[in-house]
Amino acid sequence: MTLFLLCLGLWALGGLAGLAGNRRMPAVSSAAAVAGAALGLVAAAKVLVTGGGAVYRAGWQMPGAEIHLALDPLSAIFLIPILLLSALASVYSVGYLNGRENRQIGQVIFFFHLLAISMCVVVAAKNAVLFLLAWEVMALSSFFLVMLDSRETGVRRAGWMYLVATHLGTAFIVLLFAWMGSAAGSFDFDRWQGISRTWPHLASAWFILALIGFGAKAGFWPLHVWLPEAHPAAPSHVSAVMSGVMIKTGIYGLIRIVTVIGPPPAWWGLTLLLIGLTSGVLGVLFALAQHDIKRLLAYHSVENIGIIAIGLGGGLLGMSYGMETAAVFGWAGAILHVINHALFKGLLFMGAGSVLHATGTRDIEKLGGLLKKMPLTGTTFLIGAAAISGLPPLNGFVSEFLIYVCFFKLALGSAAGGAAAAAAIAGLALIGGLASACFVKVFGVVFLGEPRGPTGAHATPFSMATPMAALAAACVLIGVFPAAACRGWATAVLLSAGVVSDAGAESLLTLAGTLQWANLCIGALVALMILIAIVRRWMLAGRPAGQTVTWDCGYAAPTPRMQYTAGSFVQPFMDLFQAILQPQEHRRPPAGYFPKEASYESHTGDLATRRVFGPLFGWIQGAAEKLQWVQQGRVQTYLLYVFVTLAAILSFQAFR
Amino acid sequence: MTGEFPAVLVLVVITNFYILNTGRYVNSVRSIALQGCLLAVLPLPEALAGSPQALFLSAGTLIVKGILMPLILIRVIRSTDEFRVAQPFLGPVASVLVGFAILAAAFRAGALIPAPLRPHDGLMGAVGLATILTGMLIMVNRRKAVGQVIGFLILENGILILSLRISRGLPFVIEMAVLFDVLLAAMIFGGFIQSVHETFAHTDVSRMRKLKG
Amino acid sequence: MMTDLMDTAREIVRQWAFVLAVSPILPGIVAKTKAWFAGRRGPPLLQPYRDIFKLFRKGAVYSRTTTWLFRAGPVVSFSAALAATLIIPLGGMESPLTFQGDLILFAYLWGLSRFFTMTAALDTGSAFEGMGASREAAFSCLAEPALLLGLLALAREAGSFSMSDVLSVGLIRIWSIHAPALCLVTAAFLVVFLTENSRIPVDDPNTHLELTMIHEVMVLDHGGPDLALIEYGSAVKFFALGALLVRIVCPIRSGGFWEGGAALVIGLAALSVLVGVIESTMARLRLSRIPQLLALSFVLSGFGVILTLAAGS
Repeated sequence: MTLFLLCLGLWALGGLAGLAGNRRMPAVSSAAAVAGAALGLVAAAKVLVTGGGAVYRAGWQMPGAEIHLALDPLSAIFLIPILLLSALASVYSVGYLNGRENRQIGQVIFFFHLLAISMCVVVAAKNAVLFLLAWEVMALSSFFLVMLDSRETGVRRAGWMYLVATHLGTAFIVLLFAWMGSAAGSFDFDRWQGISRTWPHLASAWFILALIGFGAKAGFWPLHVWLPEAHPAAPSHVSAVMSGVMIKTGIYGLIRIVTVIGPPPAWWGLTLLLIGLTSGVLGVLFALAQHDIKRLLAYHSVENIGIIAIGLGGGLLGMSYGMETAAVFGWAGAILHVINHALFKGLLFMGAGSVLHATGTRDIEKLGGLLKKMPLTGTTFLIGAAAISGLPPLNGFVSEFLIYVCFFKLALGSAAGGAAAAAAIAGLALIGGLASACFVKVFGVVFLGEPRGPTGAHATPFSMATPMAALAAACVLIGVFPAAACRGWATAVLLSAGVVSDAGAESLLTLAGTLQWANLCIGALVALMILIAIVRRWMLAGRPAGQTVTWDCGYAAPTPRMQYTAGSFVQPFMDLFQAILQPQEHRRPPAGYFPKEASYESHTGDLATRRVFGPLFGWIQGAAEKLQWVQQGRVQTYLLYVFVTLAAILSFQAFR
Repeated sequence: MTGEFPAVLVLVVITNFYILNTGRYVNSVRSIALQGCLLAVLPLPEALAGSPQALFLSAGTLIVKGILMPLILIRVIRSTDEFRVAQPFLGPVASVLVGFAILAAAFRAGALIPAPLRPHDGLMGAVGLATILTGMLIMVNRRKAVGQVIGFLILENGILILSLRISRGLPFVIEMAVLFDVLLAAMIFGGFIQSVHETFAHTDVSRMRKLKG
Repeated sequence: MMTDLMDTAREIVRQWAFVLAVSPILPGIVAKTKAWFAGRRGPPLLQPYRDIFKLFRKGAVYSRTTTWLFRAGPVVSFSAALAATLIIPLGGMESPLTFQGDLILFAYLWGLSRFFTMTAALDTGSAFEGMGASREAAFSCLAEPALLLGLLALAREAGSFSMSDVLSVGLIRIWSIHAPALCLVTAAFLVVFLTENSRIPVDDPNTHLELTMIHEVMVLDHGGPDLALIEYGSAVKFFALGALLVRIVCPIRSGGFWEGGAALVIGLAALSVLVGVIESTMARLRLSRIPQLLALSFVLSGFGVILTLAAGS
């Protein structure tokens, strides 16, 4: 535990150092961040290996509150991606922020470190009040980070939207904690363990509250609306952390509450599965329609949160049907996907940041051919893109594979879960295909071909390149050695989540065995790829290799403007899913025999914003306007309101 | 299980999907003829077991649903050019997927039918239910009056399947009466469509909204 | 443990050698069938071997627009196809690598191959190749759910979800009780097979108009050994997906590697003839019709799953 506290201390020092406003300070702060993260990772690893927890308790003046921090395996497994990605993002920020004013840099460093500390405390807190406090600090610090460029109208809009969304979610969490706390007579998470045994009829109400409250942070559809606004607005390393790990605290909260409440009924699993499928499919569909690279990545976060929810849903279904093996695969897949998504989404946002840094635009239609100018960014982005599409031999495949296995086991083992499992399998396959199409589009249009506009690009600075290379290496390592990557934590985490009751359980052995076999197959694939590459090189050695222009059906003077654009690439999808996407199109078709100008533009707004929240908030505003007579603008009237309210409360107390 | 032809029922479902998918009314009518012939197979086991009514029902189904009604419909379609292509509100891919959702729901709902009426294995009941719902979907989803007639006929086929399963003891006379009612309905529909077409030069039923006061 | 590993390695090499030796004849059979329908003599059966051999000996020409990815594309797609054949059991015996869940890997390996083919196509910056990649992406993301749902239906019937168990002799018993479900899955797989192998009615491998092509247009710029890898890879893909289809339709009972392999090749030859017949008698579908066909194949697979679920409960 000392290590963990030291880690927090180092991060705090780094954050304060950033405020000093010195030119050297970013490097110093990120050094502190890396050192702190290293200590924290050691602490987390220790917990996972021993399976035991470390506790720190201290008194606190607030009623019901206590500073109670503890690392159990569940906290530790979330702590690892948080620390890893935050530290790497902090290194990345040294190069990324270079060129901004000192004052701004100091702000970013301070709030970024605050964000990292608050995330660590959120996953380690064992007291509801402490948890809420950290949760609020997390929301506010990330709000200030989003608002960094608040002179732009779009950024301000995004920031306010985020603030409102996150607080609406927090309201539900406060309600949940107050309710559970009063039921259990304590605000300590440990005392809530198995609470559904004393309050069986309330468990489902709590589950729904947790689903909404934490779902708003995680970005479940339709509570995701703030994500595609806030993530593009923030600086890229902050987007990486927000999308990679901050939204995962919502998943953590949900898992914590579900495991604390007790054995789940089947409909919890089905609900999560349904939410996951909706988020997954709609997330990736709307991602396909975007032309802003960071907005697109934000929609992919919705998709991946959906995949995690599908996995968790499968895990819960397995638990409620008493199929331990299926449950183990679902949980392991979901948790591994939490880590994997942190790795590749962090990588992709950093890559997008490098592109933005180098070219000054996020519009993928203006880019092209960057792989030649930014080879490292391009290559690591490709690894991230293939990983997020769930392709072997990368890490995204491993977690999706585990989730698939969970549903195959459910479909084979039970009649009741069969239909749900089939829906999940078809949904996952569709999501996988769409995601891979989307990333072919992004990577192909941004990094391949010829530049589409006169954007100058420079190579990526060292401090930005290193974190990307590290994340890409992690993606490859987990993908090529899945068995080793899961061996360390699976048993401890699944035991602590109550999925299995025994460290030597049959289901855990099945998990390890399956992963080992998958490992062998992936190994064969990798070996084959290397072999074929060598054979190809050997065959071409000493042979003439000509250079020419691209074959364009005999047309010898192709220009970059003739290339396929992102908009044209997704046109078949826009046609297929028009009913859902409802793009707004502005077209000026060519006219006459010698058409001069023609253009086509499409813009796809968010379905939930337009159809759910727009009308809802409009209605609320309408209702509020009807109450306008309350506002008289006279101080005396307002004092009268206060007086009347007080009198009402007093009389209620008196006559109760 | 005697009297169950899983292959026939599966083919009925496939013709449903084909009709949902196809854009040409002539193709739809041909599939309906095929569906009628398939339905005629269903009562056969009982006929072979020595039930003359079942034989009558089978033959009646074949003649009415497999031959007569498709012929009438083809004539109606041929007589008016605009009927050739369906203009559904939902595209073919979407309507097939909605049809699939209906099918899945019908199989889930098989368990909800009260016990005395529930078929022994879900197939016949579920296929009947799915066919009824698919017929409704087609009726809702087609613009032209012919589309509604086709949907209605599919719906009726679904009812036939369901009744074959449920009404083991029900007199076949009723079935036969229903069969002729449907034939009559098809003829009246045909005449109706033709006269509407002659009057307005189109049969786009969505434009009937104009009649509203 | 060590000897186990050696045995597995030997089996892997044997399987690869077999697949590599046999697969190029299948496109040859397709071409021969089509020639027969057209009343021509057609190229000799072994022509694909000669083509591949010739291409392997050539140099290469690269567009100045392309990067290393363009060169990596064929390597990855060929390796993925070859790796997928390890999961398919030849004859009556188990495949060299078999475990619960290998059919998921089987489906995803095609995703890997496609991803790199599409990015390599976009690497050229050609509008035509971009068009091909776009269509490939759209159609494959509809075919993938059909494939996985069909595999789920089979897995439920077999009570196991490893490819070797699914495609075992147990299928004979399943055919005798659940023929409708298996028919549905077979029909769906046939559509998936034709789509994945870019065959009529989804794509036309022989067209000379870039605007209408899907797969062929993506590999327009490749030449020499790269093109050889692509051609060889597509023959291997034909073998692997075809073997899945053939083993479902005729689950032959045969213990040995060579007898089983020979029987499989006969089945594949028949499938190639069928493909030739389809290509000779059908026209390519209009592009807007292809999603309809794929949606139907999805529905067929899904209906197969529903039937197996209804039978189980």
